[in-house]
Amino acid sequence: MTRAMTLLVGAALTAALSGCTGGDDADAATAPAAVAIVPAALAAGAWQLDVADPAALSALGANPGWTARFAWDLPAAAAAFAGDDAPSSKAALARMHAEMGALYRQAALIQAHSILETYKPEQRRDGDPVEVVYLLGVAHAILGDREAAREHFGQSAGSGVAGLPEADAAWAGLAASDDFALNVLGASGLYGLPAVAPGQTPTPKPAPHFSLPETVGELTVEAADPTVTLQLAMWHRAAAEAADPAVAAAVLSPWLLSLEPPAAPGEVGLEALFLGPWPTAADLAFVATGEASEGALFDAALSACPGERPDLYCVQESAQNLARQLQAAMAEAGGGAHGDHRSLAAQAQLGLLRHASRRAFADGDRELGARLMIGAIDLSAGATGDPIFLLKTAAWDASVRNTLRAQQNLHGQINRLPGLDAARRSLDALAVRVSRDAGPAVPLH
Amino acid sequence: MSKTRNWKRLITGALVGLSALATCGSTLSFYEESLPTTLNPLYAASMVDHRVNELVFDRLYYHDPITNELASRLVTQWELVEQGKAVRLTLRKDIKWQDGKNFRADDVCFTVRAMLDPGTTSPIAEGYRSVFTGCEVEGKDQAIVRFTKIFHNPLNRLGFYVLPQHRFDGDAVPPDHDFSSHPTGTGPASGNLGSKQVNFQGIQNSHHQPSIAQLSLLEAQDPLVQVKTLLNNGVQGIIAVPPPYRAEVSTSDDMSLKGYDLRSWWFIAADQTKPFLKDKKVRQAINLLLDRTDLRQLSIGVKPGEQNSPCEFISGPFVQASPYYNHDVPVSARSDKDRALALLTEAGLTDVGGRWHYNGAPITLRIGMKAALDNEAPDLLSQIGNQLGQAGFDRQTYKLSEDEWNTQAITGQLSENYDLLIGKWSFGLVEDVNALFHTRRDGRGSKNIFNYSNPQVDALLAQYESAKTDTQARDAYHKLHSMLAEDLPYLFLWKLDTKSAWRTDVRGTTIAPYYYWTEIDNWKYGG
Repeated sequence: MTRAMTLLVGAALTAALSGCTGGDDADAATAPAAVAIVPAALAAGAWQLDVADPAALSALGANPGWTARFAWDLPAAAAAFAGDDAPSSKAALARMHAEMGALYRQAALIQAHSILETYKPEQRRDGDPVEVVYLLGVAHAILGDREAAREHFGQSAGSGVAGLPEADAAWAGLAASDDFALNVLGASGLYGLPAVAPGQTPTPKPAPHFSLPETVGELTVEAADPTVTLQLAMWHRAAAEAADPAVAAAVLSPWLLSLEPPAAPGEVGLEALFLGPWPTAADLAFVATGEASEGALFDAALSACPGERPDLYCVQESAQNLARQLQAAMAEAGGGAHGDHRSLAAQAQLGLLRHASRRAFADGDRELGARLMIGAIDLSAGATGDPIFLLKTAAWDASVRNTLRAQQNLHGQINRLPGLDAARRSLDALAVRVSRDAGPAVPLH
Repeated sequence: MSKTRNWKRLITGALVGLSALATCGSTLSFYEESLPTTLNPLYAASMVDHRVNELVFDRLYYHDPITNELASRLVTQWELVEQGKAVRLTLRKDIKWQDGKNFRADDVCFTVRAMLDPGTTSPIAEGYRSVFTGCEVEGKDQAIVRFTKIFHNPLNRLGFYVLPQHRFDGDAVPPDHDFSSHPTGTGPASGNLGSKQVNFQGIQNSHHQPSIAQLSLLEAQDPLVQVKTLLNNGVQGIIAVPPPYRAEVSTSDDMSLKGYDLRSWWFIAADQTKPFLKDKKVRQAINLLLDRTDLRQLSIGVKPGEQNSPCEFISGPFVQASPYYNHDVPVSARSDKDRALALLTEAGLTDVGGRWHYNGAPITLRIGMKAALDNEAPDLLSQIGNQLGQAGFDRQTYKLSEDEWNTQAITGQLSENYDLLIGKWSFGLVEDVNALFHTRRDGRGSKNIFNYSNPQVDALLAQYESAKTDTQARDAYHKLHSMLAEDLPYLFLWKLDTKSAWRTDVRGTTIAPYYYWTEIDNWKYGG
């Protein structure tokens, strides 16, 4: 890359970041009063401090991979990083594949929850295709309920739906094994994907995958098989591991499905964290395991909110203070306030809210978890918008039959990667069912 | 007796067991899109009316805005009876109406009867007539609500606002009853509809403990004034922040943008009874003359190719995220003047000196728009007028008041005054568009602006209504989308996300999808 091009790309990233924050606006470039929510030494470990100097940010922006990643164009980012054998590029390549895999996992969860909420016994309707038993099996498998999955497979051998008996037989075989998640990629009878190749983005068999005849009338349900989405997730896991196993394990660790074998995170650097919600590798590990690890800012920031059930406002305030502290520290480290600092620091605010939400859900406090999550959605705009998080919220909303918000969040991300539209088919089926169950309503305005 | 004791006695006597919050606390003021036209939930005609309902009344059942669980603040127990065609409800005993009277099963059954009564001329009540057959009181606190058929998840059908029987003389609830401006609810606040603003006073009840003493609803002004007033703490919130001003709000530490989950889409209704608009080729031509990309940029500030735009073009009567949206029908993002010209000529219009004529006379399009929409999409009316003017149509533009829109446009009485009407519809979970496009008869087509009538459209709407399976319903609406995109009773423009802004010192600002204020008990401000 020529120096002129390097400068141009660097400027593009900086400009892109600035464009979302107000950039050169003098107000936006005023650092807030420092709020010490975590020890300064801990804050110094955040990736935000590594890019506080505009020159450092431009240096990263010199790589078109990061420019693409900023726009969440993950296929382009992966392709760009794949063109370089440097370890840092390999690490970044692994990150891109891990994030694509995370997106597909959330899409698969949207499908699984949608299928369950549409076709589980108490929601079944006259006219539903008999073959939904297969979809229910896949949904249970994705959600990690092996026993339920096994009960549903093997019942569609006599179906006349093209491809479905084969898929059912393949899953019946897979479900009998203990590590079926990874095996789903190469199982015969399922859908083919090209050989794993880091830097590539495979295009799956397009949805609908099955035309399932309704038992009332003559229409068919054009259904998407979540198996395809799961295969894509596993394909990208393999690609990420091929590029850099340590980064793959670390970045994927918060997103692994319960049916997947755990990953063993290793040492990771800036490539695994830059532009992401977790300020340090320790925070990433904290998010993944739920156990505090040395150097985690989140752990320190949340210590301001003690108790079994942290106060919602305390968590929100801590998250805001963490962002302010990082923004002030960036100004100090970067030789002055810069327009990018605000949005980069805000990533940590969102990260903390998301982490606290995860913890609350893990502790069984659905209400607090949901309140924190909804608060984080409101902050997820422009530069802080994270498609993985938005699809995660859509998956949760599908699980509670809140299709209105789920559809909106999914729709905004549907073109990010090939094959994500399969999730829409499953969610749409639930949305129609839920809306037809509701009382009457008239258009207003 | 001291004055203080007298005062206490008066208050105690008036409120009997429930209390208004101390008025010395902070007042939460906010800009709404307009003032409500009614505080009677059965006659809510606008989203403003609809949102206000949630402050004053309780729905019998509602979905928790956080967990989406079906909940009730009024019912303690329920059971299916009569082979699943009815539900027995046991009500809480400790709830008071805002005038101090006890809330009872009589009120639930009165509300059901009111909705079934033909004298209640409410489109909302009309919808419930296919759901309920009646209601029977079983003692003070038990009611049996009977359905027209066995429904899956029947409690979902009980999302209506409960009205107080004692405020009405009979079962019919007319729109012009005093209740519409001075209602009595069981909700978290009492409200009185004024000519300049609406004030709400927080009411403590056994099922509501709002911490905000007073709310003040103000009519929206110029968007810039709204945002500056918010910034200066003159108000604490704006219900709908126009897209061009959202960046300013989001960069301030004192204000935060909040998503408001709502399905809203914009349209231009075309009056097909006009001779020159009767031929669908003319409507198709006008549709092609509109450059939506330019309109969106000039009025909403969305640049061409902008990622994650809050404004997305549509080709039919649903938002693109909806399962009913037919993605096979393309949107028209740019104008196509050549095709439009050909269609106009085929339809028999003639170009005389650069102006379109029909039957030898120049066409003047009378274009109206609901005035309140000008805040969200400034200058849209004039920009549409300009585009049609440049294409050779004389035009006159008008802004319609809220009252004019609700009482005349929606009721199909403006055909003589206008040829095109620019408006917006909003939906929640249910996207039933039958009221918009069905032939106006027998209570159907109650919001059919220019009394559009197309037997094929009516047949599809009937298919949707009577669909036995979800696929049949969806299939009917996909076909409807396709047919309307061809026939164009509406020229479909775009969906536009709604975002609210609240000052960060207002806490707990959870906004319920579609209903907005469901969580107001948990909002905190001042004190």
